[in-house]
Amino acid sequence: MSATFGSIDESTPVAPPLLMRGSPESLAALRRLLAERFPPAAPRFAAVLPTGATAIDELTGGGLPAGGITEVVAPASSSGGQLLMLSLLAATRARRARVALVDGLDAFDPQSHEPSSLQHLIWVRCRTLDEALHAADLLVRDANFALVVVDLRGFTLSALRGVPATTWYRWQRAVERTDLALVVLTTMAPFRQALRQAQGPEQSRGTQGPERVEGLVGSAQLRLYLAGTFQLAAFDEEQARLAFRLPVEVQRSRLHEERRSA
Amino acid sequence: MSYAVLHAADFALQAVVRTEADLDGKPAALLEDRARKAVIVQANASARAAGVQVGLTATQAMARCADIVLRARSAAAEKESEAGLLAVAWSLSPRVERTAAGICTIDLAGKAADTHLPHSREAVERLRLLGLETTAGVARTPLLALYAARLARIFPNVAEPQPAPTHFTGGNRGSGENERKQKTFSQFPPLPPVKNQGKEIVANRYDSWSQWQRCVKVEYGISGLALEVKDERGFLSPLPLSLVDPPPDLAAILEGWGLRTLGALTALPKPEIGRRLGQAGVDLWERAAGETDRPIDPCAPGESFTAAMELEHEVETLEPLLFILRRFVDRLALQLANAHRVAAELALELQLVDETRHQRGFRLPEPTGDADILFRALHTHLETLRTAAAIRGVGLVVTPARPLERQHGLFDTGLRDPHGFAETLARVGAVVGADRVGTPWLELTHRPDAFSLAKPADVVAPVPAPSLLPPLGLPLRRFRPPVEARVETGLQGPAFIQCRLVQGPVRQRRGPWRRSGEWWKSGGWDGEEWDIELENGGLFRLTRRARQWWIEGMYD
Repeated sequence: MSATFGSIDESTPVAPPLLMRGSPESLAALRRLLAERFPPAAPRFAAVLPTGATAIDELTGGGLPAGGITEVVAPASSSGGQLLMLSLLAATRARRARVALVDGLDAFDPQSHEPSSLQHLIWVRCRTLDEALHAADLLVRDANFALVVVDLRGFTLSALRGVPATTWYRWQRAVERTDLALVVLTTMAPFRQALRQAQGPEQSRGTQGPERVEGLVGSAQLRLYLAGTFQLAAFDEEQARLAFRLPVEVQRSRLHEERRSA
Repeated sequence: MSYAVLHAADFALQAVVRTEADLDGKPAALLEDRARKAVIVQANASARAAGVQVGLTATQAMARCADIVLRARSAAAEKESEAGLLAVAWSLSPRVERTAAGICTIDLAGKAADTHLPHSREAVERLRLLGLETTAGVARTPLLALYAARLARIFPNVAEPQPAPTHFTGGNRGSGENERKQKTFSQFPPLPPVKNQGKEIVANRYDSWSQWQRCVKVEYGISGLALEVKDERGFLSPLPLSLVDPPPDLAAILEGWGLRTLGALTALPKPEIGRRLGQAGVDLWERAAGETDRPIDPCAPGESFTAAMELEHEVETLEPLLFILRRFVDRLALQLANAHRVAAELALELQLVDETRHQRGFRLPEPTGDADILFRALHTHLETLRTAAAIRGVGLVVTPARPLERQHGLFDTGLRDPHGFAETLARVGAVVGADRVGTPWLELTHRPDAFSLAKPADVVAPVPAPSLLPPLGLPLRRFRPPVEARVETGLQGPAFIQCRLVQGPVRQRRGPWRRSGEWWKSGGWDGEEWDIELENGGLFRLTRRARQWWIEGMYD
């Protein structure tokens, strides 16, 4: 035993016969022992960052994981990605926490926001995917931010798929021991519409609603899917009410597993 | 009364060598080209070990040591090194004398006696970090302290790796070390028995290293040592006469008398020496006896915190430049600490060979005296800097400020790491452009997309009361620049749009909203605006300017 697990005491009650029997009890005992002796490296998402969007906070048990990555897939036009960002800005502004927005295609519109709600925001206006990834790489390592939003919507699917998976895992490693919430927004909507355009107006008229889109960020603990599309009547509603009924689905959640194991 | 002397041997050579990263440990020598043939005036230990001596020509030196690096004297480098030496000296005491090139004398009055040696050793180690190899001597008079500092050179080279433990006083080492010291000590002439009227008065009492060692106290550090004189007479007696710099004619007479050590000279009665050799003889006797004392001439630390250097070789890569800047920053940080100040701003100037200059100011997010933080600010900028020509000179000016004394409020949300924050923003600015990072501020105009980016606030202010009229609708996601569109219009407005991003019939529309402004300026705007919903889904802002349709963005 000591030859295999050098740091385990010889007098530890777990004996080789337990292992040899292979019963579920012995495996559970071994797991408990290993968990005690070698605390897991995986983070525990005890802290969450409330989004201010009730639909999301209810689904996720309080908000986005601090110390983890949340991917938000906005597959269709006007599905509420910018509204979610507005809610996040308002929620973090209320807590007077710093936020960085890595704006992949320089699409953020400050005039859509109250001037006082932008005082805590660092806006990084990128032009290319490389710039956005590089800037995000730097920002996720800064201890001053409570939230970093990386908006990669609008880049082609092939470009996003060309991002090495190690990038997402590197970001995950960078944030997992901090209380930073990292949000990555992805979508392919404009380009799929452009594709429909190439197919011709008849075919494009036959396509109703967004297609199901898989996520791209492999290391995301939480993946939210903005399932609906807003209509013109939304202009008559208050932003807070729109955020309240933001159509969202949870596509992946590792939060509950982590909380259970914690 | 006690004095310390910091002594940097071969100072002019060290001053040049410390500005180049790749010269450390290599044989190097300094050429003096005032004569018709340039000759070597100083050589470091590696060069001397290879047989290079002072007075050789460059060709002769290279014949003896092919790898030798030959450099000319640099007044700027010497000035910078002297500033470093004095900065370290001022960290020990405010009364510091600039005695000679590479030598400064420090008045230790007021300091506890048991701290003289440790603090002097720390000063030597600090100078080692600044690239200067020095020795320190502590004694009752400035002259004795100078002798001690010069003699500390014969101790084992502390730049070599030392066996653990690193802190111990002389005499605690093993026999191997003592043998080594004995060998070094024997470089001085042997101690002959001196007789006076047939009686041997100095009978080799100090003929071994261990005996002489009892007269001094040595403190070793990781990279330097300091020597304190405890028994002045015992310390001076076995030392050669050459140590007290006798005039050549006197040296010849004393040699003729068979006097070779200071002890041999001071064993003779002082009045008799005066009667035979005159006042010069008396002065020499007093120096040999350690009786010469003098007041020091203190100099005042400068009020400016600047460093500048003309480079002997043009610099085209980052590393040599960073190496020099690190030297500057380390020295300036020490000067700031001595003055109880911190740096508020940095101004960097690079002189290029094409006679142009690159200048850049750095306003630090929070005043600091930390050399690492100051250096990082420069490093971050230089990493992405491309100059049109090579660099031939570099200068750095620090604007000092009083240390910030601020107590954070219980609910203040200041930055956790202000310097890290500034560095991150600088790095991000280097990636996307410094003008594309910041906190957005809306301009006081109705012009579309009118905003500016400002430096982030140090503290995020509390949230003001919400407006009475809550904001309606969806925020806009802008297309920069707007996308040109072809629009078919009907009776109610746009009916079908086509552009490179979207196309399709319009299901619903609102508008037009006419807008115009600043028509009295060249940058005025004028047009009509529609909000449309496509049948395919999606809400867009459509504008028409000068009979051309544009999609300004998507409501999201």
